Order: sequence, then C-alpha cells, then structure tokens
Amino acid sequence: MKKYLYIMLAVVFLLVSAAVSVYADTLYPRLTDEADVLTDAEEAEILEKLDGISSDKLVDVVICTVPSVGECSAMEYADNLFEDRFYGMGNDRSCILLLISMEYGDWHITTAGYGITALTDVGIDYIGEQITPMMSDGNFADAFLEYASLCERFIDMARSGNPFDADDLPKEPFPAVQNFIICLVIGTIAAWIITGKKKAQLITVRKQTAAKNYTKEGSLKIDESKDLFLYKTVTRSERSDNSGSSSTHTTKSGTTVGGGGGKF
Amino acid sequence: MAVLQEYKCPCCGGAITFDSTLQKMKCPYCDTEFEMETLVSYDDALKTAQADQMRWETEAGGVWQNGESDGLRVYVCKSCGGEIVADETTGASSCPYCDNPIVMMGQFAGELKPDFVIPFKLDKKAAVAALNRHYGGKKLLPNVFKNQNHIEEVKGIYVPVWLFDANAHAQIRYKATKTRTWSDSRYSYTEVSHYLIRRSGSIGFEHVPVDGSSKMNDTLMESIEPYRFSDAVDFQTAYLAGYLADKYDVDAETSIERANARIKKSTEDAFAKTVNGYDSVVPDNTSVQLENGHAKYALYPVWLLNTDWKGKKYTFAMNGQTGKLVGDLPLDKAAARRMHLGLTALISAAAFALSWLIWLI
Repeated sequence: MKKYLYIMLAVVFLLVSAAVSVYADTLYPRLTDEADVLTDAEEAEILEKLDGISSDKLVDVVICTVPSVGECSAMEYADNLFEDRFYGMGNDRSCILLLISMEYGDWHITTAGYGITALTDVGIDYIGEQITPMMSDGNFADAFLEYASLCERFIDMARSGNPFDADDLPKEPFPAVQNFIICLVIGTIAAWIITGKKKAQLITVRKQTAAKNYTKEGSLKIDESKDLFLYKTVTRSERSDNSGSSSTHTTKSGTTVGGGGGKF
Repeated sequence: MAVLQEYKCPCCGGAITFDSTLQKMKCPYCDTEFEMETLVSYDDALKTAQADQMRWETEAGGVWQNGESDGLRVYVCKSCGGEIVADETTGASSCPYCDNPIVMMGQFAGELKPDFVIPFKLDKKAAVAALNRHYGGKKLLPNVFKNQNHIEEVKGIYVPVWLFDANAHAQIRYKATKTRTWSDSRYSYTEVSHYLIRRSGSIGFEHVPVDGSSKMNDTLMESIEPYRFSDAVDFQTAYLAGYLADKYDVDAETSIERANARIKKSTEDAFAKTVNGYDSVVPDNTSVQLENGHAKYALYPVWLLNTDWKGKKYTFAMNGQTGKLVGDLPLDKAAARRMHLGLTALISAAAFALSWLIWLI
C-alpha cells in the first residue's frame, strides 16, 4: 500500500514539474545581450528580475539586444525573435519582448497573449518615454530595470481590470512659458476685437445694401419651388482616438501580436 | 427775378412757419395756429395770384461775366425787400436780412412739383438732444470733443427723393449641401449630399427712396432710413415754411440704378429665406425682372447739424420723422491704445489663470 502511495506521489510530482516547466523553462534566457551593452553583473541582476516577474505574473518579460536588425524592420525582427525562440507562457503565449538594435538606435516592444492586454498603445509609448533618455545616455541597465518594473506594474493593473491608459499618465509639469505665450496671443486678439467694436460705434454713416424696409407686406409669392438631389460623396478618415486600445498585427506564422517602438 | 413765397399771419401780418409739434402752421409773433386745410386753400389762392412785377435797374452793378451767374438765382424778400442770392436748386430758405421764412414758388411748380412730403415731426431741440445722446456710451470719443463741441449750425431741410415702386419677378438657382457624419470603431465618415435648388416668384416694393439732391450725401441720407411713408401727405408749399428745401438736381432716370441694386439685393435675400434645411446654400444664378416700375417725387425731412473740430467738419443727420441720428465721430487714438493694452493684459492674465486652474483639476 505504502509502495503505491510513493508511486502516486512520484507521478503527481512529475506531472506538476512538467506543468511548471511549461511556464518557467524556455529555450533561450529572458535576457540575451548580443550587442554587449551590459556588464555580467548587470546581466545577472536584470535576468533575475525578469525571471522573477515572469514566473510570478505568468507573462514572459524578455529583453534582447542585437548589434543590427539587418534588412528587417525592428518590428519584424522582434516578432521573429518571439516566434523563433518560442517565447511566451501559457496557451496564449503571453509575452512582452523588448528588442534593442544598436545600429540605428531602434527599440521595439512585441506583445503577445496577455501581454497585448497589459500593454496598451499608451502603455508602450509611456515605457518608451521613460527608457529612451536612459538608453540615449548609454545607461541600459537602469533602462532595462525600469522596463521590467513598468511591465510588472502594468500587468498588475491589467489583472485588476484597469489596464494602463491615458488617464493613468502622470501629470506633466505646468507649461508656464508655453501657456503664457498662447494666453498673450488670445488676449491680444480678444482685445483687438473688443477695441474694434468700440471703434465701430463711432462710425454710423453706412450705405444701405437692400430695400428690406420697403417690401410690400405679404407680397412674396413663390410660384416654383424645386429641390433636386444631384449626388452624394462619402469620405472617411481614421479615428485618431486610440485611447485604451492595443494595436495588433500578425507575425509570419500567423500569431497575433501587438507592440510599438521608436528610436533612442 | 424769381418769385418768393412767405406765409403771412392773417392776424398780425408776421411770417408764419410750420410747427412740427402741433403739425399746424403757427405765427411766432401772435401764437395764432392755422389748420393745414386752411393753408391748402390759401396756397391755391397764392398759385392763382399773378406774379409780382418787381423790376429793378441793374445797370448800377457790374455785369455778370459769362458763366459767373450760372447756378445762381436772385430773389427779393417780400417782407423787407432784401435781395437774396440762392443756389438754383434752393426751394425754401430764410431771408438773411429779416430772417423771415421764404419759399421759392417756381422751384416746386409744374413738373417740378413734388407728389408727396413727409412733414417734420421733430423740432430743432429734439435734434440737439439726439446729438447729445449720440455722444453717450462711446468710450473712444475724445472727451474734449464732447465738452468743447458747439453745434455751429442746425438746419431743418426737406431733401428731394425719388420713390420707386415695382414688382420684382425673380428666378434664382442655388447650390446646396446637406452633411451627415458618423463613425465606427476605426473610421469617421462624412457624407455630403448635393442639391440644385430652384425658386421662382415675385415680390413687391414700394417707396424705395433714392436721394435726388447732389448736395446731400447719399450715404448719409441712406443711413437715417427708414422713413414711414404712412405719414406722407400731398405736397403743399406751406409745409416748407420755416425750413430749407431743395428741388431735385439728380433726375429719376439717374437714380434708377441705385434703386435697382437695393431691390435686387432684397429680392435675393427674401428668396434665400425660402431655402431651408440645408447646411450650406450658395446662389448659383440670379435673374430679376421688374415690372410696373414707376417713380414718384417727394420731400423728406432731415435735420442737419454741423460742427468743426481740429479743422475737420463733422456733419450729423437726423431723420426729421423718426429721430434716428447718424454721424461719424472722431477717434481718441490714445484712449484706443490704452484700452487695447489694458484689455490684452486683463484677458491674458485671466486666460493664464484659467489654464492653471484646468491644469490643477
């Protein structure tokens, strides 16, 4: 009986181990620094953080640096990395992958699975705004740690039902100089209009343009009144308000991914 | 020598004038009032009276050079015998020697007789009061102009006008559009429907006035419109007593062009109001034909007030029937600059404060 119990426990242990390995083990590490922008210590620190977040949140949070993307665009290269290296956790292959290409200073984030939900277009833009200045200064380690922290925060927000959106953007400093110039222009134009009206009060001698006061009352008779429809035109323009949404596209294998990027 | 007419009071023999308040003739000397009907008979009697034979020797004076006396008329005052030299179009005035009101009868005789006159309803005091009101509430009018301004001349004048009546037939074509917008999750759509609109019909106009005096500024005359024709009466020279009056020197044929322009614009406006329910309407083609068009000759009452300030003449005109007064006023440029700068500072500061409050929210 005891023997069967050990066998049962062993089977359960193997099954659980296999299941966890689906989430935890990937063919490639979550940080690959082919462009060699990090020290070994930095790599270790960042990788530890990425692994921690990934296994905790069940979304692969990945960073890849490359010297060049060759003939591809940054988006295509990042999508290919996601496909070829089999990143992603769970059935929907949840993943957030940051690609850094050093040749022209490109960055791109590819999202998949729950990563698409967690990182809205606004969220990706916000991450870009935060890490771009650091990368421009050559401070990649801090940029990657910030990226990891923001991914963790945005996943938590999405899990609580409120993905990071325009309303969550931190308030920017009051643009005093810019507002002062705009207000001065508004004030000048408004004062010009009011003063112009006051000046116009002084001019009362004006030619009559019509003879409205001399029409015979009730004399207007319309004998023919035709309204003829000719044609119609329809134009359409893409809506600029993408607040709260995540743009998506498909990779070469047909997987739906999201993302966005820029330069540093 | 042309004929002058002045109205003598049957009681005291003083020169009587038309009182705009009483709407009667009144003697300023003995305060006796006369009904206008009485004056109609009186006027008829005057017309049948033979012209005075008042011949004067003129050899004593110099001889007018060729063309020198063109445009002038010489009259003799019946009260004092003073010789009055007046413009050829002057129809009523006052004697510069005895100040008696006079009417040059020949100016309004035969074909030159006006069909109607709107008698003055408002007097000189009302005109001066209206001018003072005209100064009020104008912050950019120089205070010195208001304080130092002394009206140099106030004249009640009957201005000759041509009144045009006509029925306008019009065929007007418009291009119009209706716009509808909607959107889905990705696109905003705008649908513009284009229409061709046709309107055909007629509209009547009556008593469209056109200034018949070249001496009266046309724009000034149009600015004090409208006149209510319901107050017009058949012309009697008695109404002119106490006022200045001109006969027309711009004929009806010349005035038609101005009447046509105003009638056409009003016809277009009236027809445009029948095109409803569109977001944009643009006239494409307009054709207006007039029929039964005819003109009448009338005298309209105007108070003219003149003043000089800093070497520039300012003329104000008041509608002698309705009291509407117009006249361009000088601008206090320094006050205008101060107002502009002050408002700029005030509005800019308010806008800046508002932007800061919005940022705080």
